[in-house]
Amino acid sequence: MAGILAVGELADGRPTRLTLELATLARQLAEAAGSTASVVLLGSGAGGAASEVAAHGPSVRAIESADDGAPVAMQVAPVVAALIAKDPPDLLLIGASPDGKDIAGLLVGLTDLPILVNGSGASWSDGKATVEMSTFGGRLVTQSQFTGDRGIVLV
Amino acid sequence: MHIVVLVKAVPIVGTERLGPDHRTQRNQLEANGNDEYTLEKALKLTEAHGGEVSLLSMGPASALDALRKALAMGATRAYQVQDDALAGSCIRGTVDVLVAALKKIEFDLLFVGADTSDGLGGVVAPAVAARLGMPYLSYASEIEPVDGGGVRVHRLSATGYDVLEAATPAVVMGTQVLGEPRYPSLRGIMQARSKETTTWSLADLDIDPASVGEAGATTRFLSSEAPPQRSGAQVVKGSADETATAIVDFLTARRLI
Repeated sequence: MAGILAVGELADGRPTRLTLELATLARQLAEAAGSTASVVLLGSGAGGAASEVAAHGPSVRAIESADDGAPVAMQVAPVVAALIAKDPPDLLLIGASPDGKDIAGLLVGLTDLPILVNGSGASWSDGKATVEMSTFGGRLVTQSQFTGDRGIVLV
Repeated sequence: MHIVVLVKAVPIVGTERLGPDHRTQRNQLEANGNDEYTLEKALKLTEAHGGEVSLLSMGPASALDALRKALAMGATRAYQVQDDALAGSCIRGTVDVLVAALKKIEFDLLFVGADTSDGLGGVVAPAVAARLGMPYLSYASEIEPVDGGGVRVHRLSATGYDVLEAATPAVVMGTQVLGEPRYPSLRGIMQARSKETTTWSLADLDIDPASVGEAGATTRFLSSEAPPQRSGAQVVKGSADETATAIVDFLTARRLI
């Protein structure tokens, strides 16, 4: 998979607005990196939502699953952890929604990947992502990178 | 019931600055506001059902002063991880240290605030839960024990709340809906001075100093700048129909409706 992977979220069977923005960001980063962009959607209605996400550029892996009553993050994080263990992406993008923050944190614990939070944008150059972050409640804009080759960005 | 509450000593809100070393300056510290809400709930639970509350923090020596207020609120004891090599730790390094410290403490529940005022990441609690292999219950607006040793949480959702239960030990991330933190009493402030505080170094936790702090950081600061000036507010004037049309056009252009 080496490339840019985004974790999408569904609301009433449709991708959230943040998911579509992540899909676009994944495509832009992949174009700059010369790699591929993909989005993983998991949940009830994932298959139906795939085409709307794919219209923004990336390939989509839709995993239909019935809602077992557990919080979304507890359902999604183990599946994503298994996916990236088999085929690790260069960058994993996750939306900074309440569920997204839970998914990102669980993935840090499950995969030991580093993370940058409060991302307000990202670019790619010289083989690395640079993440723009809103710091101290928006009073400062900072730029950071991962010291290694891979990481999670909460956007 | 033994509840451990994570408490981070953060710069006083509104005074946050980056120092010349590009790290958050930690001169004047206070207990993170969200952590005080979860501490309040922990104190209420142990007052009603028995047990005690411990604090766990990671930070410089000056962080202990911020913990004194939390002790004065009613916590029994404080554990602090303090080591010069911790300066500049990234989120993953912080999780490594907190997990190592928590493995030295027997507890039923770990309470964590929704996020910290100097970081706003909100990812430490789930990362700690995953690393400890414990159930994780987030965005709690109510927390109560369940007969037989479990915990029940009202988890805030877009439409109200979901009721979740888990076996203990478990990690619970609380919100401000849990209730206003109490003011420490004069008696509590006096008692806090003599309460048990345990300080652990990285050696005490069997952590290689090269794996955390600046040396082991998995992220690197590049630069900072002031955010761009925002343009002035747009004032819509006219009749009700005209202003409604203008607002709809504004929202439509931004794909908000």
